[in-house]
Amino acid sequence: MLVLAPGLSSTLQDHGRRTGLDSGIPPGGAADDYAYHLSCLILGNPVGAVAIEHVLKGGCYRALASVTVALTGADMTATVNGTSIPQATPITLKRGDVLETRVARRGCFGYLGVAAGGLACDRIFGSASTYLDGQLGGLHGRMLKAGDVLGLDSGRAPLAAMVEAPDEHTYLCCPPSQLRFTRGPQHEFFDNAAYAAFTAKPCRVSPRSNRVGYRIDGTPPSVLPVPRTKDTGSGPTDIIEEGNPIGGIQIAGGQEIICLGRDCGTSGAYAKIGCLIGVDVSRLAQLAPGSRFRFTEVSPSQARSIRAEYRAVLSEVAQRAGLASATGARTLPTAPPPPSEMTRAREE
Amino acid sequence: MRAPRPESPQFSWCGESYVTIRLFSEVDIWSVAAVLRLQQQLAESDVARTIIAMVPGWTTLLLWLDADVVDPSAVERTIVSAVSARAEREIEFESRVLTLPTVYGGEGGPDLEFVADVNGLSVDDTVERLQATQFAGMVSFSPGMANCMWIDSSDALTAPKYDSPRTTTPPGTVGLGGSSISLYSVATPGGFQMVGQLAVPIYQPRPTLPAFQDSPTLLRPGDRIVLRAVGLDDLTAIRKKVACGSYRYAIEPGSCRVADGELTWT
Repeated sequence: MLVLAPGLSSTLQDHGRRTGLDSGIPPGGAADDYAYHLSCLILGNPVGAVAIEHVLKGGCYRALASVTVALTGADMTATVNGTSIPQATPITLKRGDVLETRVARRGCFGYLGVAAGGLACDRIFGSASTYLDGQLGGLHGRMLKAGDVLGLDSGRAPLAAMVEAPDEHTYLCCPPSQLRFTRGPQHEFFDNAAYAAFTAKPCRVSPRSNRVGYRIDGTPPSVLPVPRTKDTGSGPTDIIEEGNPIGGIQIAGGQEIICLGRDCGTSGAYAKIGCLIGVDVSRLAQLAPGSRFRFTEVSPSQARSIRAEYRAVLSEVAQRAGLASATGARTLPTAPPPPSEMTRAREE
Repeated sequence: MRAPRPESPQFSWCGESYVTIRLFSEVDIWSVAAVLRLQQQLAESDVARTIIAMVPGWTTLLLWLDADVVDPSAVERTIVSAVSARAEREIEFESRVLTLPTVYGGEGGPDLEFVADVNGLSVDDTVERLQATQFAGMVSFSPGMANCMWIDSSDALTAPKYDSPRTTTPPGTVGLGGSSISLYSVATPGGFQMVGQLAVPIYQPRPTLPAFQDSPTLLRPGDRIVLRAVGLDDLTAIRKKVACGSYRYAIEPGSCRVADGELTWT
């Protein structure tokens, strides 16, 4: 495919890295992991197949050979040679066809998946995910630009037949009205009244948001006085530097609410009132700037059952596609490398 | 050097995939060694298969767990028993010694004189202290960025941090904030005092030097680092070698042994 117009901040993404975190390299991966996974399943691709991620605005591409694609995530009013095409459905382009995706009318992050194994690009630590701040992965660590030619990854054979999944797509990728979190890691900074106030009023996603972090316009929670050490800064929410969880809800300078995205710094020194559940890290990616939502607290066991529900939906699609092993939540081909292999990768 | 009395680990679970394990409430070389040691113990433990990744902090270890298979109580039990074995069990973690040529002061280190003043030292004595061996406890925040502390705390300097944060700090900057040194790998905002500039890269996403063939980052948690002062003549020669891809880093193998409450560096 030839890139005719690249969109705003379009990058190549996959399921992200499992290694590199203790070297300061964030996990990355598709901002909406469920939309990405669904695009793999629809096209019969293994998870890890490389897709194009569009943010707020799509791009324009010409097929240089016959190729099948699918669109998931944000609805960017796609057309082929000017004729509308549906989301979450395999669409075959003939040589010379022009695929265009426009400004998102619903959602924020959209995925253009490509059948026959996905797109070819740089891989590091087992992932092709583009990390712009580190100029790593994807297409030379950068955004797509007009004139780029994207080829197929010949090393990744399709696993299964192609399927349509419009209903599952609606379920998985619809912009949420609430984002669910659990307390921690610095819950001792915040009392019950602070949690009640934090969840009572609606918030908005700020336009100053990206894959690194989502700034949230809302009322910051009140903070309890906390003992200082020589290694904490002087701000009310300053803590000793520690590892950052993806989805962590940081209160910067006691004032600013920031949800940590998949490209966030691997460590930070601001207190976190909570952490979004994994499903809602993806759902946050479908809240366009200005969208209103509420934070809702859930327990860790509720977080696990919500995760299981989402996995089950993906699993159903996998079964329909004829993935032989698709019988439960653990059957999707997403298994991270075993820890021994992780360690070895670093040592090498 | 004797180990301080171990504190019992505190667990803070969040989301469905993360737990932060806090081992100490204050930062020192013991807290960092304890974190690296626990990381190694967990990598060798029965729960290792449920751990996707670990991120060491100054006093904490963050675990990213596979939420589909993890048994939180088994993880906690493993950690409690690993930490309680601290006094008995000898453990060794890798601690290479890297010597990185550094230009102190000048354009890349505009805050050197300020740091000398704050510490009541001459500029020469300040540079002398900055060259004492550092211990990289965390390689974090941005790719390959090392956060270090002095191995011998009597050499340590201090400087205020975040007083007037910069929107960007050039890659290669050697910054001092509080009593820790940060080696900046990519352009990022920063609030540390800029005392010098590394003459060689510590991050290469598209490697031109052999040291980056296997990983885009040079430094690892546990490394010891000597920021050796070089003059402008040396700098020109080093830059030339970096540019033509022939620069060889001075890296000595080494380890840190933690046994019976003693730290031994070899």
